[in-house]
Amino acid sequence: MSTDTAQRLATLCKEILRIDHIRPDASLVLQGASSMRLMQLVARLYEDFDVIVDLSEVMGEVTLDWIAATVEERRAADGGGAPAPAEEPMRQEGEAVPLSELQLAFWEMRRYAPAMSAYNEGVSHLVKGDLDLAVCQKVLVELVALQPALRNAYFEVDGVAVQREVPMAEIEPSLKLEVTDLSGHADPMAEVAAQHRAMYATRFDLSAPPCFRVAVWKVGERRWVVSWVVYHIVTDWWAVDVLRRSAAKLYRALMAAGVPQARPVAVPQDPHAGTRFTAEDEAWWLEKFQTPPRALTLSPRPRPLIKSYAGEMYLQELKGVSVSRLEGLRERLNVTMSSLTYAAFSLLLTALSGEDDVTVGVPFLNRQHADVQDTVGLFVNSLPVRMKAEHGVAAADYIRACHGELLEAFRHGRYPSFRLMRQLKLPTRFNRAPLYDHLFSYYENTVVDVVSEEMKLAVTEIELPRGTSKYDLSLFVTRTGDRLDCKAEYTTALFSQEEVATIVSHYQVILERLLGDATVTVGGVLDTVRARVQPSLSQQQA
Amino acid sequence: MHKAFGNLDAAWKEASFAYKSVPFFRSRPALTPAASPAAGFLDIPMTSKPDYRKNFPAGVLADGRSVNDPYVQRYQSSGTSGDRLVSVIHAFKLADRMANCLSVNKSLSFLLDEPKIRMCRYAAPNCSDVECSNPNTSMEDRILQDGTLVLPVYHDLLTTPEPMLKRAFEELHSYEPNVWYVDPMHLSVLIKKARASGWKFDMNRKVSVLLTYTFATQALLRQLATLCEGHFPVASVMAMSEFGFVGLACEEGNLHLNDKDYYLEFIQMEAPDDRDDLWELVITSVGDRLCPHIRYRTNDIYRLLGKCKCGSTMPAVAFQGRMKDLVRLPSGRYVTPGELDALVGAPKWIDIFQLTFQKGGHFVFRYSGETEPAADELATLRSKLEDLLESKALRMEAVQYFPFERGGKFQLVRTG
Repeated sequence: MSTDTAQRLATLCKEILRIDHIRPDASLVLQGASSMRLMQLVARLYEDFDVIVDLSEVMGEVTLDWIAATVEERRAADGGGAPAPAEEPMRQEGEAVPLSELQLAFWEMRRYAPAMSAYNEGVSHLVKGDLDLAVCQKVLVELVALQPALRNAYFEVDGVAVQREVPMAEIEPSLKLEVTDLSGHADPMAEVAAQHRAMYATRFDLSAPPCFRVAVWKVGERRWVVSWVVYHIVTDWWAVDVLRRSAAKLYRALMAAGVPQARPVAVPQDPHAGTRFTAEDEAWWLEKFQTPPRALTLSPRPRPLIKSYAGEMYLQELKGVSVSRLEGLRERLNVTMSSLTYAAFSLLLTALSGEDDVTVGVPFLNRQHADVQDTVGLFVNSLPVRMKAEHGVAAADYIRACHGELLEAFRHGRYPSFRLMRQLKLPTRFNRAPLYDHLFSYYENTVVDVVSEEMKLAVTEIELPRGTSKYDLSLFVTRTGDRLDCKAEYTTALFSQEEVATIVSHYQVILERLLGDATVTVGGVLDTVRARVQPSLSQQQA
Repeated sequence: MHKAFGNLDAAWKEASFAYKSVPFFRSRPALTPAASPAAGFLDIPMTSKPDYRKNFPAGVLADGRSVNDPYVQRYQSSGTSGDRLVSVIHAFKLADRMANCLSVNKSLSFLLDEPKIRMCRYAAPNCSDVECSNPNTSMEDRILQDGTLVLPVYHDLLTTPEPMLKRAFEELHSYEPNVWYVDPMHLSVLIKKARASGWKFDMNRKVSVLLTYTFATQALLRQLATLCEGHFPVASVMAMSEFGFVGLACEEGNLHLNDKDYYLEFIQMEAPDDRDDLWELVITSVGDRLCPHIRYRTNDIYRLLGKCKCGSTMPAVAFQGRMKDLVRLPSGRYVTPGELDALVGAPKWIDIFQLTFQKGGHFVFRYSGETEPAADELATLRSKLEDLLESKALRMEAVQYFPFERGGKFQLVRTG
């Protein structure tokens, strides 16, 4: 018997059997070992030596010598013991990590500048009060230190797209707020809008972070507009809220302390956290798209030969729709507001396109786990949700079916749409997105409008024009208390603002019809919209 | 919200082993290299009972392992929450898990050094693997592979005939167990029957009473105390046929879950009301090279208690019931068996109670006991129940009999 094995066994016996001086040739039971402690010893031998020592035949007479000989014999028979299972490698800080399949979609877009600009994301706020710009600069640095994804560089290694976290010391000199004083300008907000568009046209060099910009415009006495724009490969929209909360906390702390506190530990990033799908997920999506999605055409205008990303947005409060009545309908049908408003959008597309098989992009947050809640990173997966409208079916049943379909889609929501697109091998069309040209999203109480007495600052989220549109038409419905607002982002090559306003009004009419008539069929809703479309088309033609 | 207890590195190692060596896990997408176990582990898809049921045995046993290996023990779940689940566990892992659980309760730790654990099990027949509901079986017929004697009982406990109760009582003595591993409801029935019939328990034995299977209500504990207090240490056990011992109550009466042999995750249930601080337990086994369980959803709901006076480092929790036993009120609030028990307490006039949630939002509270309640006691309880249930549609019924579930278990909260 090897000395090593004997020593380890003796230590284990002392620890588990609580026998200080074991006689190796005497029965362990007679030396006081209980059956439970002997079983614990067997468990430990299995863990440490990967050998099952079967005591069942020898329990009363088992000795330490016998156990040691058995262990040695089994290990020799197994060629020195089964190797411990290899563990998944841990990632080292600063190591290049392959992009996730969610990120790959945006990596591919670097080849086409207009697409890249369209996938710049961000948010703007109007700030009233004594904003301390020096503190804002410090906040920016601290945020980047806290969120490693904000300092990622993206590049290729041997043909594989990877990202690498750039050390803080390297990136810190390039972290600058872009401050412009427009307070003397004749129309500062118009100028902000223009500069904001220009900012969104930025084509970031992905290999040289930061891949974001922060602009601060002074638009009047104690009035500021603060905008952040970031390329989508870095993060999704959820991070806006993460950063906003962190920024507020840091600003408050820095204002109170004057000097930065000890830098907190950076939030770990795991870009692959959102893409670990199962074979079942993949099968579900492939089954959904056994036939390719149908291309929808809403606009009578000729579609450009190459997809245009030039766009505008149209904002409208849906005054004709009572939120409390919508809530009532939602409860009656046992669906979510998100499903209800999505169903109305799907019906809108059916009515306007004349196509009963409709696929709509629906962003899925894809942040199920607590550990990624506070992480800046790209997890959102826009899912192609496909619905078929049967005209004779009750609209209530259609809404329930939409709800069921959304739930299933979310259940399989980790499967990256980019992968689906590649798996389906859809024919390349330069003037359309591969899976869908229309996107819908519903939010509740997400618009920030706060006053901080402590900081003497009022912060209101505002919409500024970006000059881009990812899809033909995207509809974002936001509920704030009893108010329902619509933001439509549209491709200017296909729609005018008036046309989009009309489309939004059709959307409102669908919701009103659903509220007003519990027995209406899908066909009934579609007819309502089409009856409105004919006169407006004639009007346009005139 | 998510909280976790135990050794994350060990859990990650377990998952890595499973994804390499167990066919069911191997059929899933491989684990992606993660920046840390903390980042990667949470992304591993959860598993549940159907995964293990459908894939048993070939899909869930590690490569090279067999159900015929030494020390492999086989257990069946009662099947009350769906189809039966067959689980296999190494006997030494069971012992290790039990030993680590026992460490939280000093009054029971003597069991660790008992030369041999002799256990008698008295619970719903479907929880065992022998024909204990058959009145013609002998003691030998009902001894399990690990030496546990299963006492005879009918599925519908309250209809068990006297000869069978008498045999259970006698075997509880003649087998000379040092552990009574019992359903508290079953033991309370036996205690009452013994008292009524003049059968005397031998109080000089060194016995521990471990309560499991059914929610140990305060009313049941009050009845058990009439026999055990000052004689036999009593503690509630959290056990599952998939794992064996998962937790044990300390001397303060708080359940502690074993975070040494398992990595424990608690996922907070979504609820609109702050009072519903409820967490579902998700378990990952540690060091199980036979049939590892990775992020296994238990459907068991707990409240987390924070630090316990007993000083144990294992997390203290209060079991609230199974997911299916929760009643959701129209307001969105949950009513759990645990909450119901806390409200009912242990008045002398209640031995057994059951709340039924009927269609249309009506509730029936049925109770039985050996004495009649005073009118004001009944009115007070009714008022408290109405507050809890946020409803006046409540009927209080004194009954003599409670039907048990098909599997022989008793449901504190029923929907029907």
